[in-house]
Amino acid sequence: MPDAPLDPVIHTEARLRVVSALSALSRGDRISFPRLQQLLDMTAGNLSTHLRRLEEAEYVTITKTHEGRTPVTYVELSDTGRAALARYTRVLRDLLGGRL
Amino acid sequence: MSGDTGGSADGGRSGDGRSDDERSDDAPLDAAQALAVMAAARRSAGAAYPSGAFLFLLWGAVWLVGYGLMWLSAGDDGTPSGIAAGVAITLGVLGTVGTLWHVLHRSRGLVGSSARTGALYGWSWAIGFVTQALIVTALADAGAPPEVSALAGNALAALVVGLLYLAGGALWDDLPMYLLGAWIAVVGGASAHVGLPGTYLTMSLAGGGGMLVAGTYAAVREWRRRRA
Repeated sequence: MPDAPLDPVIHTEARLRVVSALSALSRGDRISFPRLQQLLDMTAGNLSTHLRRLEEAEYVTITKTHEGRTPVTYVELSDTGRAALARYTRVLRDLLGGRL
Repeated sequence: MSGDTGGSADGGRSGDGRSDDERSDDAPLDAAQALAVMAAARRSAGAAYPSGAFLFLLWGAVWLVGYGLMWLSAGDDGTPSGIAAGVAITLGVLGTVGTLWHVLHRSRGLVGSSARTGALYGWSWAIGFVTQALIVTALADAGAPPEVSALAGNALAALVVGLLYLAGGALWDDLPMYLLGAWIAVVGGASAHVGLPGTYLTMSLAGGGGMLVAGTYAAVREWRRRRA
């Protein structure tokens, strides 16, 4: 970590979009996979690839449940993910501040 | 955390970030681009919650037209025509349907604490208006003249709306919503003093107009946020 100040888990456009969108939800809210896909205008395959990576880093919590007979997947930013995004944002601002 | 502001590895930062890109759609970002991407994604996620502007403008129009027609059609005794009352009630029903559609459509796929808060808040409106109807019918049953029932009905409706906007403003830390609630509650109280048929004009212009002002303000704010 100390030698990679811009967290590589977050620092790609697709995952940065996912994490930022999740961070804009109210704390304690979870969003369904298809709705998140729609809000971000991403393909299902692309979104699930990036969610898997974020889940491995424990930045998001994925809950699989059933509504009636339909399986539903809910996504939520974890406290670890929220902290990582806050740290990432600080590093970005430092970088910008240093350049200006 | 303590190492974040050290800045000792500045030179290698962007290279380190890029080394992890395994997908072609993840072109490396510079810091300014990254901040822009974050802001845009946060705005996209905002569509998962209802728009205050839409709801204020919708209800402002319902009150302006509904109460306005009742005032225009009021006869010498201050009673609105049946048609005007029917149109006003229909507008109220359409407003309710429009509100439910908007809130449910926007918040689909969202579960958790804000969904619970929103559902409880939504039920508060239903409880408030059922209670308002019960009180008004009770007044009529107890022998209150139509003028008293009409004045109490309007004022109580404004009180329910006003108090719920005050509660919503407090709940979601939304000062414009809170101020609108205060305004609507005061308008309700004042409209009862105006008497028939002026009470309808008060509700239309001051009540509906107040919501349209709040809605326009909220719309400008939402629009600016989207462009920022």
